[in-house]
Amino acid sequence: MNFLNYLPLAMVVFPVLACLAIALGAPVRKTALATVVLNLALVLVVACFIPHTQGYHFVTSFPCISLPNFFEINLTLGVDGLSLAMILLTAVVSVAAVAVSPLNVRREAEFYICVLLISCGAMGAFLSLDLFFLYVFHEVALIPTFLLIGIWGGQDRKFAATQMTIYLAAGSLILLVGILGFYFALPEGARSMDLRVIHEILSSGRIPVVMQNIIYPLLVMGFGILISLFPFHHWAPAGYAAAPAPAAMLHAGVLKKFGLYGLLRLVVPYLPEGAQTFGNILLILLLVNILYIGLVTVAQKELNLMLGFSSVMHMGYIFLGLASGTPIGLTGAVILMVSHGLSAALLFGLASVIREKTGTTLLKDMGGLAIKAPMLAFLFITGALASMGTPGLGNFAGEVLIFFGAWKVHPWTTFFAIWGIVISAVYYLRAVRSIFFGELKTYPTEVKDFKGLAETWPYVLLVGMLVAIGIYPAWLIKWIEPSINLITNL
Amino acid sequence: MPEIQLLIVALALLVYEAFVPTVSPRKIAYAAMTGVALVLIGTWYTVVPELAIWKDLYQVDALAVLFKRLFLITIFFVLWMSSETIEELPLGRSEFLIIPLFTTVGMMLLASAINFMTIFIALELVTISFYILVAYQRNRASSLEAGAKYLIIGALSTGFLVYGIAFIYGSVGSTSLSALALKLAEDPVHPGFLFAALLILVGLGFKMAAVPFHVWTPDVYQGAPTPITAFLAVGSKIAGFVILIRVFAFDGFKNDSMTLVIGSALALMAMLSILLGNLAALPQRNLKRLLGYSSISHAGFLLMGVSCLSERGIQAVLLYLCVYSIASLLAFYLINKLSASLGGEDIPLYAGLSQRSPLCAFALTLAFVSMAGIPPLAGFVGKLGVFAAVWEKGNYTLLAVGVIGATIGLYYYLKIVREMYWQEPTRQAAPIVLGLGSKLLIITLSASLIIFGIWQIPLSQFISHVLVK
Repeated sequence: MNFLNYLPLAMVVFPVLACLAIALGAPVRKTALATVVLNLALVLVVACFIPHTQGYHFVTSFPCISLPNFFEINLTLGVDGLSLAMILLTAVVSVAAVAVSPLNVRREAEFYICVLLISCGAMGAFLSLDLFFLYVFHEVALIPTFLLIGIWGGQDRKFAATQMTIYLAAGSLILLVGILGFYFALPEGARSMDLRVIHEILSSGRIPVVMQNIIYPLLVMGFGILISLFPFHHWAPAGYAAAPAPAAMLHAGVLKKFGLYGLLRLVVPYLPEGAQTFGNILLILLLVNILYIGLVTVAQKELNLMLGFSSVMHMGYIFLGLASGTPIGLTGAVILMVSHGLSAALLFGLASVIREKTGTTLLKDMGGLAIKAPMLAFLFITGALASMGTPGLGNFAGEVLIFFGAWKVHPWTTFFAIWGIVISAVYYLRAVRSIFFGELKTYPTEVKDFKGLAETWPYVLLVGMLVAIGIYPAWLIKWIEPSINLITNL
Repeated sequence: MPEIQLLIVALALLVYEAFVPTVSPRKIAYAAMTGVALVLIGTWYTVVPELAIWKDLYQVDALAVLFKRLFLITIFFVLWMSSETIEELPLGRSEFLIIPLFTTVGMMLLASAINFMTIFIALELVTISFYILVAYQRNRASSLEAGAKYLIIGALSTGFLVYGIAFIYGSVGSTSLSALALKLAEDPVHPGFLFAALLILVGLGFKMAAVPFHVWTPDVYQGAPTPITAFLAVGSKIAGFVILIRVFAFDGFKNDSMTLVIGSALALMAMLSILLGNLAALPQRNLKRLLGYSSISHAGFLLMGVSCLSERGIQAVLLYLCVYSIASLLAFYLINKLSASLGGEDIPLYAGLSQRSPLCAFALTLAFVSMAGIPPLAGFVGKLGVFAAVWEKGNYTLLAVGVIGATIGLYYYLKIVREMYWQEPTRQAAPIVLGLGSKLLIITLSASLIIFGIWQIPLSQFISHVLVK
């Protein structure tokens, strides 16, 4: 099974090659779609063959930068259960994002190149076993996102895109300093950027507490800005509201999870003392994320902004799972990361369809769409139910596990956080009512439903995944269990 | 010696041009470029004895070779740029192509200089030829203004440098760097040394365009002919840093007693340069002027690395210089190339460039994003190295300033990207057509920005070789 080792590399290289082909004049949409579908197929192949054991599989490594006594950086790609879950999410959302991209978008080549680059960056970030490339791949997506929102975005696109990019860049720089701190806190001579080596070093010795107390806030703040943790969340709602559908889907669905993934890889396992020092502040922040941002979401009058705030709010739950540090809570966090990615992508994709069909983003100007477009209504309501945490859909499985896991450690925080479910039910049900039910408003053009599976398949794919996780989460848990054990047994 | 080879090329061209005045300046440019390329290739084949030293004045080591190659690559691109816009000059076209060769000879001497006498002579060769070049467009007031400013402040800084050297001679009895190091080891508390070191720092600050010796930079960058601006931004800055590294980190003032004061002075200059350069660049409308301020901020980032006065800091600075040069050369090449079709260098003129010339817009984006230090482009590796070295030294204030500066920097670099990609072309502007040569050049430089961002085994190995003594 030697060729399997090269699959992670292929998943990163194919989108880049596709971008080159598009730049040189290949048929744009077909190339892009073929690439993301191919990537999904590769992920499925990896999923079939991955052994359910601890550690990374299918690892390839190439030396990249070598300054002796300073940095030895290798492009090391590999998969374990945790990254498998994340690349599956990336691949599925990428397929959906490319598929729902408007057919006759202006400056088509540039559009699809940007989408493919974002997908490539996310894929690479989750596959990298080297801190340098983990960071680099995430940043690959920065400029394409900036261009996507700036050129093809909606209301307030210029401000939203600039604000988002600056926020994310600032967050990344703080993160970079944190990563450097982490690197230099490792014992001299054994320093490495390789996650496997880091694990080996730190399973025998700990990072000194003094250093942990410096590195922990840097890393949490850096990752926190990328995840839109309160009070660094301001870029997210405006950015997502302005972004064209594929950008919002990929960013809210996948890229935002990078921050959580990073926390799970670096902070949760290796900085427990730092977490003890600053844990209470984090608990307060995540409660603010859930309750305050939840209430802000209720007050939104625009569909896109509402979805943006709601995606900020749900990060609070995942944070809670990570803060619990228990195997159950961490497992729940990963499941919710995947499910939230799917449901956020579904809702953002459908929201842009609704905006196209109704010509408005204001909730009060919509109404009665369910009569005209039952398929659209069904899909959107499924997404909303998933996001609320209704049993049977993926998010519920994640949230329940998080609450179980967190209850043991932080009962009061969990007690308050559960009320967030009620808040999200309030705004989602209100949105569903005002968009799909009530009296039928007049729209500039006649509202038509999707034309069968040819148009709905990207959304059906996302819904199918949500149902698969919701009804039988065991397959996902089986993947991530070894990785979680590795983290908690340290 | 590559200096002598290049000098022969320059003199031969000068003589040839004097006897055959009808020769087209383009031919001179091609001849000069061929000569430079041959000299550059020759540096790989000249057998250099390990640490060849000549009379305590001139030394060939890995550091010198690295910088000589960098200077030769720079002058090659500067000549290419000049050849493309040479027709715009009223007269003295051939000299405009030949004088930079002499400047390069000075820079290459500088890379090998291990004595304050050679340093001074080489530095003056560089500076004086720059005085001529900056003010070359005699019919443009802005060029003359730039020339005058460069001359006055340059002369002042030379004064400081000479004063510093005089102090060293007075205290040591020799101008050699190694003699200085020996004397310093014997008598580390001698006040003359500290004073001299600070005076020399002032003189070098001018070359590097570091705050507070930066005032000439924006005006000169804006007023000088674009190829010369590129030469200043890359060649002259590298020249400043090569002496800085030699005098303060390798030899000369390298002594534990000096580390604290020199390190803090450099760190202070770094902080001021980063903050001032980045903040002042924000409101600029002229792209060359903006790059002037951005070059001040890059001087700051480079000084961050030098201020560590550690092996890692120097490694980071060398990497940073290499990748910064590529991005700067690419940016200035495009600015020079586009200025005729766009009608100037004002940022609003770049509106909609992505639709008029996708390649140019893409390459310019790469150059700016690399300067901003966003991965996966080469500029990031430089910033990473510098930040890492500073973190290791534990100067967290400096690091925080660096992070803030880099964030501000991104904003104004993005401003240009926004103009190129978000805006539609203003007038019914025709697509910009590029020749095959320019396309190849742009693609090569862009590709090297991407490749050096993720893979740089040969470069990093060469740099680590510099530090093995």
